[in-house]
Amino acid sequence: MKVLLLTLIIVPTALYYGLIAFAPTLLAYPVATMPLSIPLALGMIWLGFIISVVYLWQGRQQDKAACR
Amino acid sequence: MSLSQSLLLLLVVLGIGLSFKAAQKTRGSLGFYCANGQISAWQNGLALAGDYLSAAAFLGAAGLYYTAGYDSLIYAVGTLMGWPLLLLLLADKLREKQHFTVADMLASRFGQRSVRWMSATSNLLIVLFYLIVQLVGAGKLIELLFHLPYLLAVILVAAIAVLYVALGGMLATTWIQLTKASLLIACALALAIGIWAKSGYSLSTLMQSTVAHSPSGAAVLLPSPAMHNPWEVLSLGLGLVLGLLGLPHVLMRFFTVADARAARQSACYATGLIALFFTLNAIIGAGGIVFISHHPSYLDSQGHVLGGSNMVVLHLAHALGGNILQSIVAAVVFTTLLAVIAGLTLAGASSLSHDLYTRLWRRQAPSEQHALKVSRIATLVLVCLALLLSILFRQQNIAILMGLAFAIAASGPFPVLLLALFWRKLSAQGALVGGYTGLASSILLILLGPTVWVNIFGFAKPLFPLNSPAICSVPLAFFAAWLVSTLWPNSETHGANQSLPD
Repeated sequence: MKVLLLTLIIVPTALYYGLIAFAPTLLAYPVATMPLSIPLALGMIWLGFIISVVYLWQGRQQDKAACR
Repeated sequence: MSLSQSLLLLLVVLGIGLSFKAAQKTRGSLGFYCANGQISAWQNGLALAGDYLSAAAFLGAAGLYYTAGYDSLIYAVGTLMGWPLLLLLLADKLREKQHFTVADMLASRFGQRSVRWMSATSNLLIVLFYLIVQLVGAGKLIELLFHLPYLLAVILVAAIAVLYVALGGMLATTWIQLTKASLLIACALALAIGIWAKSGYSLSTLMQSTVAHSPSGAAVLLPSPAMHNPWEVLSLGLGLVLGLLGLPHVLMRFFTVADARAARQSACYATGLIALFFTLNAIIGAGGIVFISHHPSYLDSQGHVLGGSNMVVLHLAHALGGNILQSIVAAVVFTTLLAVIAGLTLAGASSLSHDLYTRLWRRQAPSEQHALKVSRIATLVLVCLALLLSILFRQQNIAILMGLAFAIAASGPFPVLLLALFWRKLSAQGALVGGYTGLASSILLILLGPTVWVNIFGFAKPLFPLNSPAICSVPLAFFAAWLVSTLWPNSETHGANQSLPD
């Protein structure tokens, strides 16, 4: 699970910076009334938190299973 | 006395009061460095967020959004993504055993004084650069707001920080950090809600207004020309993400909680708070463009923001809530600077007193009273040194110094720490060479790069093409550690942790 979560952090982050580095024009793609750049950045910021919560939850499940 | 000064004085007195209260509970080294491991997960989470969210994160980010638009969010994403990495890779492992510093942890793995020396000095270097940034920022802010001379301003700030740390150690800095983090997030929330309300409670309306008011037009919501070099972008991203994992004042906080579980929880809480803060900052940055850029009261005769782009947040507070809101925000910003300075000072003092003096120079454990006395003296010495350097660096660009600290943290301490925790075959020699390689290469490449070689030294072309050295210095550090560990494997390593994977 830890490896999966690490992958879910590293791959999107690499893709995000790769997009900015090599294909920045794609960030201008319209999403509703704003460019893709804004929801993508905000999504990345909250992805980090979601992964943290999932890791914590998974740790609690393991602790409960160990106690049984 | 103005409202700003009164609020500031109130917050400083509150901080001193907290320090005196903490001093009554601080006994011995364990209390001074780690608050006896009694900080709860939510308190540590708030304190971690407080340690991380310096005035640069508030003033600087909004200022960057004002001048370079979307680039501010590129920085935000990079710095935020370091937090889940910190949680998954380091948080619980740092707390598995009771240590005072990261150098303690490395020394327990390798048992060699040279490794402790390397770790302590690289931590001190990072702390010093970070401290200089904060002191310069604080000095300039007080100079602008209260019309005090710069020298007096930095001396005042330094004196208060010494008082906070020398009195109450980690407990005092924790309480001050969580108070400040709460105030900072409350201020950001107030500003963001004000901006959102004035935009008809619509994010898309705010974005459209931002485009309409920005000289760059729609390009304000896209990466600026500074991000056109792909290798610069990748190097910047690497430095921002990994830099957090080598910051001594952040890592030290994981020694203050009761156990590994609390360490994980606190990292998660901190991540959530920082994610919230960066989201609010995106709104605040946009608000700066909409409400400040065409308002003559906040601009000089050439159309630049009065006091520089770092003052955008303060002008915005005035635009939204008049003198009252501006005074509150200014007082909170100053408290933020003080709190971060206190946290950094403690991290640096622990390297000086515990690692260098007690473990390396003295070589035997002093009495608790003596250890505490040395810690307090180390606090004073470190702040005096940073104060002198902040006077020397007064005219330098703060962003350069901050970038230097992050690049050093990503290249020096982080590779060695990661390998020490996860690779059993890392030898003491490998740790030494890897650590020094990362440290030296990052500093050298920054000196040879455009920001120092061209902008400061005045040469026509840089010898190293990138501003951020991480894409070179980080892999170099890992490679050096691997190569030396492979060529000179563990043969005389003392106390190697046999449970580490190959």
